[in-house]
Amino acid sequence: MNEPLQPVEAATPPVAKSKKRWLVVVGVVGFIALVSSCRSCGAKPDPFVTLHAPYRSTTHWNLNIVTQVPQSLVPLYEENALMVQQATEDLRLKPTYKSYPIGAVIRKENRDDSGKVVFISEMIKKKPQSIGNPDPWFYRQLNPDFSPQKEGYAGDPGIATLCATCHAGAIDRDYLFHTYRASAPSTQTP
Amino acid sequence: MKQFHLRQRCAALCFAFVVGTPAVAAATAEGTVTFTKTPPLALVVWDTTDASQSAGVPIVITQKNRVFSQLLAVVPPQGTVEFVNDDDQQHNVFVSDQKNKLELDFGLAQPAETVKQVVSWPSGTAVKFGCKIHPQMQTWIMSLSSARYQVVLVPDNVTQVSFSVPNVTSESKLQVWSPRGEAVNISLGGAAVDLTFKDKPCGQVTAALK
Repeated sequence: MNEPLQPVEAATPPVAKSKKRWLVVVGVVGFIALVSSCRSCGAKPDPFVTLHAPYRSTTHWNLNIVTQVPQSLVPLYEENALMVQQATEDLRLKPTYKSYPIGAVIRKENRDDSGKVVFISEMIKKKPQSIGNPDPWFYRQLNPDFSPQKEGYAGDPGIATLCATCHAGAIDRDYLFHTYRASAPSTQTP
Repeated sequence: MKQFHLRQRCAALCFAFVVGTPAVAAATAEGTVTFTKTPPLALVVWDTTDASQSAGVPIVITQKNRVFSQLLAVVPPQGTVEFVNDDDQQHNVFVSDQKNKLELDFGLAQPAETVKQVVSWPSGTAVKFGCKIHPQMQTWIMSLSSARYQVVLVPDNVTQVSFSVPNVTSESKLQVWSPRGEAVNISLGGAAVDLTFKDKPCGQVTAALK
């Protein structure tokens, strides 16, 4: 009597096994990356720091301006600002300014004489948008409640006349003028 | 006899007076300035006893290729300086001088735009004008009522420069000033005089009449 035929477990081909392993590895790595990025989002607050007392700037709509940068960028900003100051005192110096990382945000409050914020100017560092215009910054003009008034890149006509033409004069300083004031920084919530 | 003696004495006195009085003849003051610290880009030497220069035609300083056309310009008191933006980009002209109590800011200057400033600061003092957009764009406007002066440019890698101020006399009093030093009196007898910058010695100046 013939024994009934038992189903024979098909042998798994070696290629399929290695695919499985790869999927597991990719899954684990992806999970770790996701968790770590979430942690860094939540665990590292980077509040804006006010760099100086308000002062009138004829080149910034004749308003009283206050520069604010994220705390993590204060050393970089101040290093550049110090180089500007030194270069102003010794015209033979040829300083090499440091550039800002992509994602950096520099903010200026534009205040009237009563101290009221009229509008806010922000520059956000992006990748260069075109070969013709190397300015990588995204310019934003915001209302005091941070609602947008106008925004765009240097190539946008409105932004060119409003912001970028003047900031192009500071191309050697990554488009920022680095107005240095010696007043002690104070932390401020955005 | 007495009259003769008197005449002789008078003549002798007159002769002695004429011979003994030092001649006030024009000469040239020549000298050297030696820097022991970072040299300035320019300096000016002038005769403080002269006041023959008066305000006349405005002097024009252009802004082009991110430099002012003159590093150090001499303008008589109450004279006018015209700053012309001769560039294809925006510039600015400003002064922030606490010592002379002068705060000026002409705002953004478009290409071809001109701004004017009267030299209101006293003779013998200089005021720095700059551009807020380009911090290394600077020019010094020296107010001088003297027409006897020389502006000397200091090239790179040079620590000693010569100057020559014509039409000075033995009664002249010369001074030297640079953006990296306070104004100091120059001895015309050849003695070295120290230059200071921020109360620290930064060089020496010697001069003599030729």
